[in-house]
Formats: sequence, C-alpha cells, structure tokens
Amino acid sequence: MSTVMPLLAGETVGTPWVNMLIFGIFVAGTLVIVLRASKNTATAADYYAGGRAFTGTQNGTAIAGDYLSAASFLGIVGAIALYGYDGFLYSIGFLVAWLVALLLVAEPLRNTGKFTMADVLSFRLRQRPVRIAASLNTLAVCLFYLLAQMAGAGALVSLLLGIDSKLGQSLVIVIVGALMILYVLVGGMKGTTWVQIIKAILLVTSVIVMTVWVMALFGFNLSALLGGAVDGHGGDEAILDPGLQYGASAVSQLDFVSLGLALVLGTAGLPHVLMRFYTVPTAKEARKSVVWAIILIGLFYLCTLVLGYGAAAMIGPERISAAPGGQNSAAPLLAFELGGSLLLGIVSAVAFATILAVVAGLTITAAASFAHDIYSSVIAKEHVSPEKEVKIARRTVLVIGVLSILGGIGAQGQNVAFLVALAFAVAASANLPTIVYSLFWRGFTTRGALWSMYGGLITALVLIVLSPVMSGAEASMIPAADFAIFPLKNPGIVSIPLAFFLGWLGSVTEKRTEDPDKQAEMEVRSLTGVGAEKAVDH
Amino acid sequence: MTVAFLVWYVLFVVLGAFFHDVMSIRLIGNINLGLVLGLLQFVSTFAITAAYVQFANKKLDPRAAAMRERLEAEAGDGRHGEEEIR
Repeated sequence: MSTVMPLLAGETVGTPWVNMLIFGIFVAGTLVIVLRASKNTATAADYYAGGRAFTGTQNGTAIAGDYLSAASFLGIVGAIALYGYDGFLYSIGFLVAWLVALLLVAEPLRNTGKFTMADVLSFRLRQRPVRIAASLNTLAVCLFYLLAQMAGAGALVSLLLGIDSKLGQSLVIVIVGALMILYVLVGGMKGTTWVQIIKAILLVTSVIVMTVWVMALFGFNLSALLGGAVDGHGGDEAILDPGLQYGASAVSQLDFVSLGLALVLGTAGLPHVLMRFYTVPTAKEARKSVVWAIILIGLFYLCTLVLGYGAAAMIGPERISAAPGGQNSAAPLLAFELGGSLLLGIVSAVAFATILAVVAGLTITAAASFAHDIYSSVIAKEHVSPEKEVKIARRTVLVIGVLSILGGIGAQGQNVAFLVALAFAVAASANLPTIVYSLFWRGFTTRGALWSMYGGLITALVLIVLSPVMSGAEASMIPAADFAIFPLKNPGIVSIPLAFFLGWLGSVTEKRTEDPDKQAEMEVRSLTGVGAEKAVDH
Repeated sequence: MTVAFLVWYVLFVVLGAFFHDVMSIRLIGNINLGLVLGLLQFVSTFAITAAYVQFANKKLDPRAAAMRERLEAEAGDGRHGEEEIR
C-alpha cells in the first residue's frame, strides 16, 4: 500500500493528458453509436420512447445507467469515506426506493400512458391544468437533478486536470454542457438509451473491479476493512456508527429521517425514470426492466460501501476534503491509489460518461415534457404535427442545456448525492402522491391533483430556500446571508406528508366528480394493458 | 407488502437516527448491528423483488391476459358489426 501523502495545492492526480486521451476515445466511441442509432429516429415515439422496442433487460440496464449517476458513484463514496455509516443511508434509501416503483408504479404506468408522467395523471382528470402542473414539476425536478450532475462534472474534471480555480471549474461545466446538448440533439431517446446501456455495463464492471481489489488488500475481511477506515480517521471509531454527520442534535436526527423519506419515496416520482417505463413494448417488460435494474443497482450500492470505507482507509478524510471537488473526489482518488494513472483515467472516463448520459436523459425528459405537455396540449391546442413537436423538443433541449450550465456553476463544491437528494425530495412531494392517488383512489379529483402537485412543489422549494442549504452556513449557496429559518437540510419529512394531505383534502372538498367511465377505463387499462401503446415497427 | 417494507425501512432509519447506542453494538469484530441491519435491507429488497416476480408471473399475468384478450376480441367484433351495416 502506498504511503498516504498529503495532496499539495497545485499538485495534480495522475497525468492530465493520459486522462484526457482515454476520456476522448470514450466520448468519440459513444458519439459514433449515437449517430448510428439516430438514423432511425423519425416519429415522436422514436424520439421520446425509442420506438418502445427495447427489451426488458436492455431497458433495465439503461435504467440502472440513468440512476447510477454522479451522485451514486462520486457522492456516496465520498459521504461514506467522510461520515461512514450516515453516508451509507444514501445507498440503502436509493435502493429500497425501487420497490415502490416495482410494486406500485411501473406496470400501471406503462399500461396507461404514452410518453410522459402527465399522460397518466391527466388520463381521467381535466387535461389542461393537470398537464401544466405535471410539466412544471418535471421541469423543477430535472433542473435540480441537473445541477447536481453539473457540480459532479466540475468536481471530476477539475480533479483530473488539477484545476483549483473557480473560473476554471466553471469553464469545465460550460464544455460539458455543450457536449451534452450535442448528444441529445443528434440522438434523442434511442441514442441516449444505448449510451446508457454501454455506460452502465462499464460503470458496474469498474466498480466491481475496484471493490474486489480493495477487499483483496484487506484479506477479504470486512471487519479489517472497517478497522482500516477507523485508522484512516485517526483511530476514531465514530465512522462505524450512525450519527457522525446527523447525530449532533435532535434537529439533525430529524434531518436524517427526512433524508431517508425523501430517498425512498423520490424514485417513483422522478420523471426521467418514469419515462423509461415507456421504452419497452409491454408492462411485463417494464416489470422485467425494474427487476434487472434492482439487481444491478443493488450490486452497485453494496460496492459503494466497500469503496467508501476503502477510501477512508487508503486516502484519509483530510486529503479527500482538501482535493478539488471535496467529498466528490474520493472515488477517483481511490482509483489512483489502486491502479495509478491508468485506472484513474478509465474510471474517470466512465464517471464522466455517466454524468454526460444522465444529463442527456434528464434534458430529454424535460424537453419532452415541455414539447408534449405544455406546447402541444396547451399552447398550440392539439394542432401540432408530431414532426413539429420533435422540433420544439430539440429547441427546448438547447434552452435547458444553457440553464443547467448556469445552475451547475452556482452549485459547484457541494456533495452531489446531497444535491440529488433535494431533487428526490421535490419529486416525492410534487409527483408521488398524485401518481399514487391517481392510480389507486377512485375519489381522486382534479382539484386534489392540483393541490398536491403545486402544494408539494412549492412547499419543498420554499423549505429548501429557507434551509441551511441556501444560507447561513459555510457550505451554503449564499454563505454571506442568513435567512435559514427552516432547520432541516432536506424538506422531505414536512413536504411529503403535506402533499399527501393536500391531495386528499382537495379531492374531498371538490363537489364535482370526475368522469366515472374514464375512471373505470383507467382501472382496467392499468391492470390489464388493454389499449396500451404498442411498439413501433420499422 | 408495500406497507410492510416501508415500515421496515422507516424503522431502520429511525433506529439509525435516534438509537445510536443500539446500532453501535459490535457483533463480529468491527461490524456493528447497524451495518448488519443495513445489509439486511439489501437482502429484503432482493427477496421482495423475487417474490413479486413469482407472484406476478403466476397470478397476475394470466388473469390480465385473459381479460385483455376478451376485451380486444369484443372490440374486434364491434368493428365488424359496423362494417356490415354500412
């Protein structure tokens, strides 16, 4: 094992040109694949849903690729390396959340909708207001998630190139954003799905290789690994136990629970994940996708436990915090410790592609939501041809790309998993209650939907702005100011139950009932798959 | 089933938040109860997934398929009827 040497300011990890070479090859390769896949993209079904022709296993791999973003790889490993057990909560929450998707949401959604979450929600409710609300929520969640990825990209490349300055890191984010826009404009959903699949395989493989390597160094003894992590923390055993990050006070303990809630309920409300249930031919394939995704994702998170504690043992928390990107640098630094510049280059390239592909998926979802739900259904009032819709979607991609670049510059330096958990909180508040009520409660009305969607969204956003995330602490977005009257960093424990309550309240106070025929039709469709959108033949 | 696993998960989170001493009990070497419970969450997730797939394959799919075929057949007959009248 190499001796742990402090990373001095200005010292780079590995060799920048080697890293960039490997990275460049990977990017060029995936671009070729995207170009070839895009030749078949003609209809809206192709652009949004990849023609619905992916098999369950392929789609499951793509879902895993979409899900295992910078947050999972860079963020969680860093959180566990620094805070031990409290960081592990992310791994568990992110995984268990998939049961909500599997048992409640995946199949009924595939049976009842066309392209987006708003299709399902507005099936038996009043189209216009519900579509607008659903689309706004989609945009909000996607934007938060995008910020997190951009921050991760900035952290990663800054580490590779040894860029310490904020300006340099901001420049990195601009370049990443431009590449992403290119991917999405050219490939649409079909192209990006193939990138996700390939990248998912590479990511899971790299992580398994690193995990086995770390375990081997500790004699395949988990207890010894944990002991090593304790040594890395100067003999402090606190990282093995809960409470290092969240145990300080009753408020922070509540914060822990709030985070746990947001994680487990957020996945089934993430629009870009929900959209991936439409890229398969049938509900049964949707089920298969989720199962396969759970296997890959579960395996991955087991590995993060080893990698996180491994990084604590082999690198040490001080060095990780001091490196460019802070906590997010733990995983690449570990790669360098294990296999030098080569492994660092490969792992970084895979991590970078991970971010690129996830960003592309998010952008497509947001663009589709705007083009399909707001523009087509609302502004142009159904007179838009499918080809025009695709054109609008492409233009929206450009706008969202620019917004996400700006947002990413503002969010740099924060732990990516933590940022993503905010997106999860918004999704769990704004979307999940409505989806669940809509699928399972006959008495659910348009007013209930609107109250829970807007109520959940606004509550979550306001609480985030009023939390220590925005102001009042050293790591806040605006450290100089202090308007943090809400003490929890994650609003989940307040906004999620509130959104459920509002959904119920809105429905019971509405005098007019929704169309019972439509409601019955939705129930039959969601359970049996009658009339579901079929795959496109080419 | 959904309620069950959510309760198990929330229990686990609450233990981790408020009962540090319990979770810190060492079991084997450096491995404590908290870690074991966390890993059990993984096990239960995989188990529930497997159970659901079995259940869906055996029970849900045949029923849904039967209903779907019946409905689509009826829709087909209706269309034929209209054409004859015209």
